[in-house]
Formats: sequence, structure tokens, C-alpha cells
Amino acid sequence: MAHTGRHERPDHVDAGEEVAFQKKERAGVRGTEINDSLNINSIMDIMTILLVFLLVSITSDPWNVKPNQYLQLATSTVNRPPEDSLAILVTKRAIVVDNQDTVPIECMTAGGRQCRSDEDYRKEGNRYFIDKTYKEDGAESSFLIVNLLKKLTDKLDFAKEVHAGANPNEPFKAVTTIICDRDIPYRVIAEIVHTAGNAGIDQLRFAVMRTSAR
Amino acid sequence: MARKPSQASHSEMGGNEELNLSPIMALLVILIPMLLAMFNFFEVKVQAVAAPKLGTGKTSKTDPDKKPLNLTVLISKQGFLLKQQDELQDVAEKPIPKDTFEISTVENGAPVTKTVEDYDYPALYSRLRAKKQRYPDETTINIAAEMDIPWHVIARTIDAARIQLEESHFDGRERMQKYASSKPEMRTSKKDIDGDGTVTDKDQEPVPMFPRVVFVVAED
Repeated sequence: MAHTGRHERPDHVDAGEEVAFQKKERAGVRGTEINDSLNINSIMDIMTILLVFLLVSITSDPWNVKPNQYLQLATSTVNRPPEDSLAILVTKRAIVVDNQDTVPIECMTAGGRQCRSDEDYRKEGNRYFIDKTYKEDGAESSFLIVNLLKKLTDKLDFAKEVHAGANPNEPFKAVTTIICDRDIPYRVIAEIVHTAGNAGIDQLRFAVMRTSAR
Repeated sequence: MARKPSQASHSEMGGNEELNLSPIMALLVILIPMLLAMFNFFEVKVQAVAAPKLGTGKTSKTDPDKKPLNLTVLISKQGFLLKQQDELQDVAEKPIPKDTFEISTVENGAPVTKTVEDYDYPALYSRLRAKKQRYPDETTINIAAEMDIPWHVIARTIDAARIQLEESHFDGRERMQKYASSKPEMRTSKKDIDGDGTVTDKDQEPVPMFPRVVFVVAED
């Protein structure tokens, strides 16, 4: 019997040792075969766990807030979860309702020049305000933003109709979440809150980024 | 007698074929990067705020003659000023000016200690905590600010007023670090906080201080 040379065949063997020797040779031959199927069990485990985690995490933020240079959230230690509600996005450039720019926000640099480039928006000391042409009677001192009032009123009327059809016995709660950039001044916030109150919104929430440090 | 290898069954029914995972892998390779791109590496939470109302605030339901405290925090460029109903105030409140604090940050990978001027949130919290101890039934706080105070200052002010912390006051040069790292005071809740279906001692919630926040516009 030919032998591979790996296992040196003894000169004198009995029947039991012959069988053991043949077993060793077969094992050796099998060991030289290339196993060309890739074991992807580990990758599949990681992918499945990652997929479930991402799907659960993404549904926890109903608006999918994406910070960018015009929208940086303020931080807070509050732990109240967000609820599905009408969102008013207040960036450094505009007030956005239902993915539509409703009212532009003006920006003036500390030097008194209008912000033009992204670099201008990143500077400190900028002044953000809503032009008087978008306010009631075109008055600088007014707190009522006409375009925003109309948009919110339309949205609320539609939401009331939907609610009346789906849950006629439950009272309608007008809840709005304001997703506001951290540098927006109090004046603009007060105008938005006043306008929302006039539109019939009685519960307001402000979206913040949760931190552990106060 | 054992079968010869040539007689082994090669039928599909009895065969041990591997599952074709290529379509599933293709789906996951596309889906997971898409979900990662949508993923936010931070938590979004909400702060409840009441819209400004006309008048001086609700009178107590149990005692109609009891005037509300009307506790107001005025935020200016110089710092904080606390105000309340005149009849309930025996001594004029001193303003809480801004102060300089040392904060530790990381720049270019190295820890750096900077001195910055910031609002004195620890001092504000200490004053509000003292107010709460004196008027434990009050839950409303009015927030007023100068027109150009940014939202992040107001958010931190609401944070200082909302819940009670384990410490009742903060003082000293390191009060900002102590305040920033302080934990809320907890109490047993009547709601099922941990979601196990029962209300037990494990359901803990922060003790509220002035949880109802109202925005007001300060008169000039």
C-alpha cells in the first residue's frame, strides 16, 4: 500500500495497527483538501442585531431631526420622550412647517451686514429676526406672524377633521413641537409661541438634545 | 454492511445543501448603511412649555383668596433676576450676575482648562430651591428674557427650575462642576415607569420643583 510519507509506516505491523494507520492517512488526506465555503454565520448575527437596533432607534424620533449648520439643538437633562405632533422647525434661515419654508428668518452679523455665506452663519454675535412684512399690520412691534398663523390654522383644521373621524368621542388636543436652533433669540421664540397660541395650539413642546450634564 | 461511497444517495430531498444567503446579505448590505445614515447619535427629548396667558395667573382652586406667587425669572445680558408677587415679597431680590467658571474641555486630543463667563445656573437653582421650600405648593414659573437672549440660555434656565437635585444649594468656586454633575432627587412614582406592568418601589421619578413653565414677555 502506498503511503504519503507523512506517517512513517513501521516495518512490522499487526492487524489492529494497520487499521489505525489507514485511519490516520485518510485523515491526513482530508486535511489537505481546501475548505472553500466561507462561514458567514458571525456576519449574519451582527447584521441581524444591528438591523433590529437601528429599526427600533429610528422610530423613537418621530421627526428624524438632522443637525446641520443651520440647526443645532439646545441641550437639556429632561427625559420626556417626544410624541407624534405637528412640528415647527426653526432654523437659522427659516421657519419650516410640514417640510415647507413658511417664513424666512433674517440674519445680520455683528458688523451690521446681512449674512450671505455659511461662514457668516457660523459667526458669533449674529442677530436673527423676522422681517416686519411677515407680521400683523407690517408692524415691527407685532408678535403675530401672519404666514405662520395661516399655515398652522390650516394644519390644525385638517388634524381636527381627521381626529373627529377617527376618535369622535375623544377631545382633540392641539400639541405642537418646536424644533429650534440653539441661537434663535427669545424674541423670535415669543413670536412663534404667541402665533401658535392664536392658532389654537394650547400645548407646546420644545425639542432638545438630551445630555447627562446640566 | 456499510454502503460504498458510489451508492450514497445524492437526491435533493435527502441532501444537506446550504441555504443561499446572497439575496439576504445583499439586502442587509444596502439597508444597514441606509439606516446608519439616518441614525442620530443623540437622543431627542422634549420640554413642555405653556403658552403665555393673559392676566396674572390662575388663583388657587382650593383657596380663591390665595394669590399666586407669580415667580418670574428675568434673563438679561447681565444675569438673572427673580421676581414674585409684591405682596408676598418681604425683601427685594438681589440679582444673580454672570460669573467666571473654569471648565475642562478637550482640544486637539489634550485636556484643557478654560475660564469662561457664563450665567450662574447653580446660584439660580439654589435660590429657586429656597423658594420652593418656602412655597411648596407652587409649581409654576414664568420665564421672561431680553429679546436677544438665545434659546440655549433659556433651555438651561428651565432645566435649573424644573426638578429638585440631591443637593439643595451650590456655592464655592467649583459650584458649576458640582451642579453640572449633580443627580436629580428621586421619589417613588405612582406610574409604571419601568414598564413591567406593575407599580412598585422600583418605579422612581425625579421630584419636581417648578415643572410648569410659562413664557412671558417682560414689559419695558
